Order: sequence, then C-alpha cells, then structure tokens
Amino acid sequence: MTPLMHGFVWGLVIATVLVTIAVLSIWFERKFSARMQSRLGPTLVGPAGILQLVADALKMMQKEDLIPEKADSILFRLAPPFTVLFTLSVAAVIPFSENVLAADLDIGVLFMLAVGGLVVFPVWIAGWSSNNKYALLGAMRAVAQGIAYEIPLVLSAMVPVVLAQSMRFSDIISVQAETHWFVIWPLGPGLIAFVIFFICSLAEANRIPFDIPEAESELVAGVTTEYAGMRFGLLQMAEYLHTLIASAVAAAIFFGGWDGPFAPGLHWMVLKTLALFFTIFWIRWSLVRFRSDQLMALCWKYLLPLSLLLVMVAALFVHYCGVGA
Amino acid sequence: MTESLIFFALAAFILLGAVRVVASRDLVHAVLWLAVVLVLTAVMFLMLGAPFLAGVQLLLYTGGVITLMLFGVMLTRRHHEIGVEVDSSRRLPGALGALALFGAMACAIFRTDLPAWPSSAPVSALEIGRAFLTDHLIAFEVLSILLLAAMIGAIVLGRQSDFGDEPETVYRKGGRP
Amino acid sequence: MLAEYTGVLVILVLGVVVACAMLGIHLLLGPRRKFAGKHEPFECGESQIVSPRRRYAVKFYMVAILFVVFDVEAIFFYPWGAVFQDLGWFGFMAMFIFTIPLAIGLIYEWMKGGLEW
Repeated sequence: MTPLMHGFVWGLVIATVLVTIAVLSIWFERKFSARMQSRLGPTLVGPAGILQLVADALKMMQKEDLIPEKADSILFRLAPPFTVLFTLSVAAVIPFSENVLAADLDIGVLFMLAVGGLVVFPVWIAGWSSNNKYALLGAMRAVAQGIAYEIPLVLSAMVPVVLAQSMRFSDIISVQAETHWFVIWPLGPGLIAFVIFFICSLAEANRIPFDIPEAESELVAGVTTEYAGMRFGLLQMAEYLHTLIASAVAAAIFFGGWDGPFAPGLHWMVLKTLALFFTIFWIRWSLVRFRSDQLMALCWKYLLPLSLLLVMVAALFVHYCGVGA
Repeated sequence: MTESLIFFALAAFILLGAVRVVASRDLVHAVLWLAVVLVLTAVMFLMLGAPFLAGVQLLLYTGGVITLMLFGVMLTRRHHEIGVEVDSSRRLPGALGALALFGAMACAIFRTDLPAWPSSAPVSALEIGRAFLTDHLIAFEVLSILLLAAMIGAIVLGRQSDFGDEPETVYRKGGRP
Repeated sequence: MLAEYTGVLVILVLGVVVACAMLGIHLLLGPRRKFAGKHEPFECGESQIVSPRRRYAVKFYMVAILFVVFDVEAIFFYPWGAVFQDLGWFGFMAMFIFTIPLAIGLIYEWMKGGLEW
C-alpha cells in the first residue's frame, strides 16, 4: 500500500470506529451511572435498552432546528460541526498498532496538543453567537479553563517526549516496548506526569469534576443552552469524542500503546484506551464539581510548577541513565 | 503542479481572510477572521516544509493570541451593539502606503537568494532545537526576561484596571466572600 | 511531504461529511412552526432586558496573558527535549536558566495574588 492509500484507509476506519464507540458510550454511561445510583437505566428499547441510542437519535432529528432570532446565525450554525471536526482530527496521529495509524507525523505530540487546543474556539463561538448570558458565561469559563489547563497538559505530555527523545507517537511507543511503560518506569515522574495529563484532559473536555462551564445548577446548560436537535447532538458528541481520544493519547504515550504480551498489539491498545475511558466515567459519577477559584488554584499553583519540575527530572533521568533505560 | 495549485488557493484564501479582518465592523468577527488567517498560515508553513513551525503557529498564535484578543474584546463596553467605524475617507494614502510596502517587500524577496521550492527535506524540530541552543543562545535566554516583563506588566495593568461596576467587585465591597 | 498528512485530511473531510449529513437529515425531518416567543433567548421565562454581551471581568484576560507567556515557554521545551542529550550538561543548563526568570515571575504573581480567581 502506498502511504497515500494507507493514510486514506486507516483515516476512514479510525474515525468511523471512534465515532461509533463515542456514540455507544452514551448508552454505556447511562447504564453505568444508573447502576451506581441503584437504578436500572434504559431498559425498554431493545435488549438491555441498547436501541435507546437509535430512539434518541431519531428524536433529536425530529426536533425543530431552532436558531434564536438575536443569534449570530452563521456562527451559530458553524460552531457545532467545528467542535467535532477539531476533536476528531486529533485521532489521525494516534497509532492503534504498528500498522493501524492514519498519519505518523514527525510532530505527532505537538499536533495533538495544537489541534486539540483549537477546540475551545468553536465552543466559545457557540456561546457567544447564542446571545444568551448563560451560554456566554459558560463559553468564557470554558475558554479560561481550557487555556489554563493547556499549559500543564503541554508540559506533562513533554515528559514522554523527553524520555523517548522524539515527538513521533510510534517512536514513543517503541521506546516503551523496548524498555518499560513510562507510567511504571522511571518510577515517579512517569506516573505523576500521567496523573497530571489525565486531570488536564478531563478539564479540557469539561468533564466532571471540571464541568463548571456547563454547571447546570447555575448556568442552565452552559454553552448548549440555546441549541436544540442535532446541533446539540453534535456538541455532545464532540465532548464524548474528546474524552475518548484523550484516553487513547494517554494510553499511547504513558501506557505503552500497542505493547503487551500474548495478544496482538491492536487488542492491547483498544483495551487500554477503553479502560481509561471507563475511568473517566467512573470519576464523573463519583465526584462533585470544583468551584472556579479552586479550579484555577489547582492549575496554576499545583499542576504548573509540578509539571515544570517533572520535565526537569525526566531530563536529568535521561541525562544520567539514557533513553528509557 | 498540484502543490503550486494548493499554494495559490491557500494564498488567495489568506488574502481574503485578511481583507475581512480589516473590513469587518463587528470586532468579534474581525478577530475570528484573523483566526482563520492564522490557521491557513499554519497550513502554508506545513506546505513549505516547516511542520514544527506550523504546530507552534497553531498552538501559540491561534490558541494563545486569538484568545487574548477575544478576552480583550470582551473587556470593552458594548462591543457588539456598536459597529466599529471603518474609516474610508483616506483610501488613497492608505492604498499608496500599502503599495509602497508591497513594493519594498517584493523587491527584498526577489533580491534574496532563496532555496528552491518545494524543499526536499523538511526542517525538523531537532534542527530548530540545536539552532537556538547554540547559535542563538543569548536571544533565547533574553526571551525569558521578556516573558517575565510581560507577566509583571500584566499583573500591574490587571490590578489598575479592575473596574468597579462588575458584580464580582460589588460582592467584595459588600464584605461577601 | 504532504502525503503524511493524508490521514488528517481524510478525517477532516469525513468529519465534514458526517456533520453535514446529520444536520441535513435534521433539516428534512424537523418541523418548522414559528411563533413569537419561541425564538427569544432563553432567560428562565423572563424576557431579556440587557444584552449578555457586556464587559467581562479582567481576570479572564489575565488568564489569557499567563497562558501566552507559559505557552511560549512550553513550546521551547519541545525542540529542546529532542536535542538536549546531544548537547549534554550544557543543553540542560541552558533550559534551566531559561526557566528561572519564569519561575520567579510565577512566584511574584502568586505573592501579588494574581493567581487568585
């Protein structure tokens, strides 16, 4: 296969599979959260209520396509597709096995951070164009939180880059396959960097405990207040996709990606991704929301200095012990 | 051939976006058009074989500077109802100035001996890293002082311009947390 | 050079197609019954008195400035991370010295209460 065809085929497959998993996870989350609260969740439509998804999608499509009169209608329409677009394009650089990858870029990690960081703009545009104070407040909070947590995110993703001496995802995974997963070895920096990366990913995706942008008790539904039907559906889908892709990235750069015994690499990568994805749901239904000031204090006073320190420690480790050893 | 085609299409879109930036009456629209221009410039960098620079362009300019501008716009009073007056009375001097600048830059570009395009090897992050850690070390270290100055400036300005008619400040004056 | 990015392009195109398809079906199936009030901004049943697009607190702007400063720093870490081993101790010290003023800035900001939301 030529590189062109390779990118084409796997780009198509990876994107389709990820969107499918993200949609299915909505059903899973409803079941899971119900069980955590001693409920049953959806049971009526299809076996174990799995067809509830189809029913919901059909319902959404039959809603009226509401665009508020005072809204900036062009920006209002453009924002939801762009959230999905930016989120999904990050998936291109994640390798799911030695061969299953759409684009093995030289600047892989940087691409992931740069394009992932763009997602705050469609979210802000969605809030601003709605011309609704809850939506705009939610949007301002989303952007402030998104950019603040971007810094520790960039720095903690730097630790695997220093340890592997490369920004290419496949190189980072190969180094881990030859030595140890970065979350295990070097003991300390790898694990802490992973925790910071994971926390920041949650914050970037506005998931509980970082969902102050759509705090329903004060902001109605945050950015999505004025959205109805499929546009609302797209905004929701982007959020689920964001967490899924962040899990895949963390699995690749900290948990050794496709590296694992007995089974083919792809299985391991999918398993690790889904395990992290599940953890996000678990956290979501266990914790309560942070306040804005706690959120900012956590980011600037703890995560930022700590992640700066970690990069230095990782560099010292590489200097004295060599790459990944 | 295809690459040239993409290049010119991209250049046309960048120009179009740039015109929209200066012609928009709505401040937020102007900033968003600027974001479009910056993203397309990143794609341009990519085409010219500088993937690292493209990443930096996206992360710093599109991610950082545009946010800064949007939040700056949100600081202004009634930024939406009042359109910005686009002054069109000095079109001739403006056009002459732009032409002169264009001429000077075009002249400079044509006189410089530039490598052939498309270049065979993209500039890697490795080369950039080596360049700023050896040849441009002083500039690199001075940069951190500049960033420090920016940070301190932000604190000073931010404290002075804390205005009084915002609900948050009213709370504080009322003795509430 | 650009062949590497085919995967990215394909995913972008696919994203556009999926989003357009979803919105298109929505446009076909959804009802359209306009009446006054429905298109008003949501305000918990009240009518909107002031525009939501007012001045926002300066602290949002402060976050953005801090972001730009530290993002520049973080970006410089990336090429450094790829080469510092070749340069040895010298490369490490160069970055360490680069970080010190920024650490001082962060501490100053912290002391001045610039990090309080």
